[in-house]
Amino acid sequence: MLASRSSINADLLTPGFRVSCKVNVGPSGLFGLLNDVNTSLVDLEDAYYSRLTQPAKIVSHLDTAHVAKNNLTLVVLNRREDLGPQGLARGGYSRLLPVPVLITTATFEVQGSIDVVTKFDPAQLLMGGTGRFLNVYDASALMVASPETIFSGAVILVSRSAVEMMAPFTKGKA
Amino acid sequence: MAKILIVDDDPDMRPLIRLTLAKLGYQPSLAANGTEGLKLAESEPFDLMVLDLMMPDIDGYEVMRRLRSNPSTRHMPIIVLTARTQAADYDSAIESGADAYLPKPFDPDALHRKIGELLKRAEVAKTSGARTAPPVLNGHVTVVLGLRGGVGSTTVAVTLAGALLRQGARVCLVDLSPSGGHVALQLRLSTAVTWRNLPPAPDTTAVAQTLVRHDSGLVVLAAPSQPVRQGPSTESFRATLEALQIFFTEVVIDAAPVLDSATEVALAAADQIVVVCTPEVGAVQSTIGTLQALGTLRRPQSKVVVALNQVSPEANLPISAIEKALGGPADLVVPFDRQQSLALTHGTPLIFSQPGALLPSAVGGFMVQMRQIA
Repeated sequence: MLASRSSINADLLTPGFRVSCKVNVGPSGLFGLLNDVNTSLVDLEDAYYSRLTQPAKIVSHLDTAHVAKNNLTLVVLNRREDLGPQGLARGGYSRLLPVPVLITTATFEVQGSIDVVTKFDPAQLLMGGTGRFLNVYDASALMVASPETIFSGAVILVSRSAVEMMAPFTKGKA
Repeated sequence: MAKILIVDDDPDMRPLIRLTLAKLGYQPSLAANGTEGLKLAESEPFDLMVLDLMMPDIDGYEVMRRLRSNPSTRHMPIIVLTARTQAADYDSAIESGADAYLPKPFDPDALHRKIGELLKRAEVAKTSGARTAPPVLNGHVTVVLGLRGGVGSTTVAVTLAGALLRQGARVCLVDLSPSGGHVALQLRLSTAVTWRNLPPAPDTTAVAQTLVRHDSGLVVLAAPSQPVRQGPSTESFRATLEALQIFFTEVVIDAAPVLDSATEVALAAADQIVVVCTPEVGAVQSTIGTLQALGTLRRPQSKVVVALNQVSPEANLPISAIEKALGGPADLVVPFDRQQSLALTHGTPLIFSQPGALLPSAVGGFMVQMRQIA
C-alpha cells in the first residue's frame, strides 16, 4: 500500500522492538494523532521492524501494521515539522523556555530539552491535561540494557505513562 | 557520462532521484526493489549505485553484502539513501559495504557532492591499478585456536610469534579476542589503538595505523582490553588480513575462543592451525569438538596440529589417555615452565627474556621443525 502525501517517516520504539515506518498523520501532524484521545491505535504503513537487541537488522517488512498507543515508549522524528502545526504541537505561540531534561523509562534514558511556558512544572508536564506524549527536542535516547545503542532525533516523543523519572539538569552535571 | 543505478522501492522517491541525477548530468537507471537492483547491477556495469535500505524483498544491507561478494560488482561505489538515520543504521550500512550514507529527505547538493567524491575516488583507484591488480600475499598465516578458553593459547601464540621473529621473519601477532585481549597484557603494550579502530573496509594505510610495535620488533594488532560484543566484521578482517600478508612474512593469530566471523576468515586463510589443549577433561572434549568442526569446515587436516599445553605442574590426565582420546599423538607438548608465571608478571615473555627456557625451547623447536617440513 502506498503512503499518502501527508505521511511522515518515524521510528517507533517499544521495550522490545523498533519499527521504522510511515505514518499517515493528516493536518494535525503526529502530535495530534498520538494525543487524540478518541483513538487508541496508530496505523502504520510500509513498516520495517527490528528487535531492540539488533536495532539495525531488519527482521521483517509489513505493508500495514497497527500499534497500541499505550504500548509505545518513544517515537523518534528526524524533523520537527513532522510533529505538526506549531500551535498544536508546542502548545501555542507564547514565548517558550527550553529546559534540558533527563527522562528515564524502564528501557531508555532520554536527554534533550522540553519547552515550558513559564517554569518547569513536573506535575503539569507528567500529570496535567490529556496528552499521552511529551515532546523532547534535540533528543537522544540511550538503551539502558545496551548503552552503546543510542537513538537520536530532532524530536523524541516520550510516553508519559512510561516515564519513571524526570529531572531538569544542567549539561555536564548529568 | 557516469551511469548510476537507483534502487528504491518508493515510487515517489525513484523519479525524484532520477530527475535530480539527470539534471546533474548523470545517466540514471531505476530498479524498484533489491532483487531487480541486483539483477541489473550484475547484468551491466554501473559507475555507482544509490541504494535504499528499507525495501520489502531484499533489504539494502543484503543487497550490499551480495554486491560486495561478487567480483564484478565488488568495487562499485554505493551511496545509501535512507530514512533510517540512527547511528546503528549508519554503522551497519558501512559494515555491509556502503561508501557513503545520506538521510532522506535528501539534499540534491549533498548527493551531487558525494557522487562526485566517490566517482573521483573510483577513477583514481582504477588508474593506479589499486583495485584491479590483486596484491601479492606473501605472509604465512598461523592460527592458534583454543575453543575451550583458558588453555594458554595466548602464551602459545606469543611464544610462536617470538620464535618466528628470532628466526628473522617479519612477524605480526594478531589478537582476535573480543573478551579482553591478553596479547597486549603479556607484552605490556598499550591498547589505545586496537582492531576496534579499523574502518569497515581498511586499506593498507589504515591497517598500518592500528599496529603497535613491541621493543623486540614484534608488531601487534591488539584487541580491546575491555570485553566488546563482537570481534572484527568479516569484511573488515578479511581486508586487514590481506594487508598484513603484504607487510609481513608471518602472521600469527591468537583466535577468539569462539568460531565468530573473524575467526572464520582467519581459519580460511590459515596455512597452519594450532589447536591448543590442556590436560583436563573439558579441554580434551573441546579439542575433539574443535577438530571435528575443523573437519566439517573442510580445513585440510594436514594444516591442523594439536599442542598440548601443560599449564600446571601436575596434569589431571596422563598424556597417553589424552592422545588416545584425540586419536593420535599431540604434535607439540608444551612443558610446564615455572618461570612462565613470573614472565607474565614482568610483562616480558620467556621467548625474549630466556629463549633457552623449557617453554620457548619446545615451541621454538617445533616451529623450526614445521617450517623445515613446509
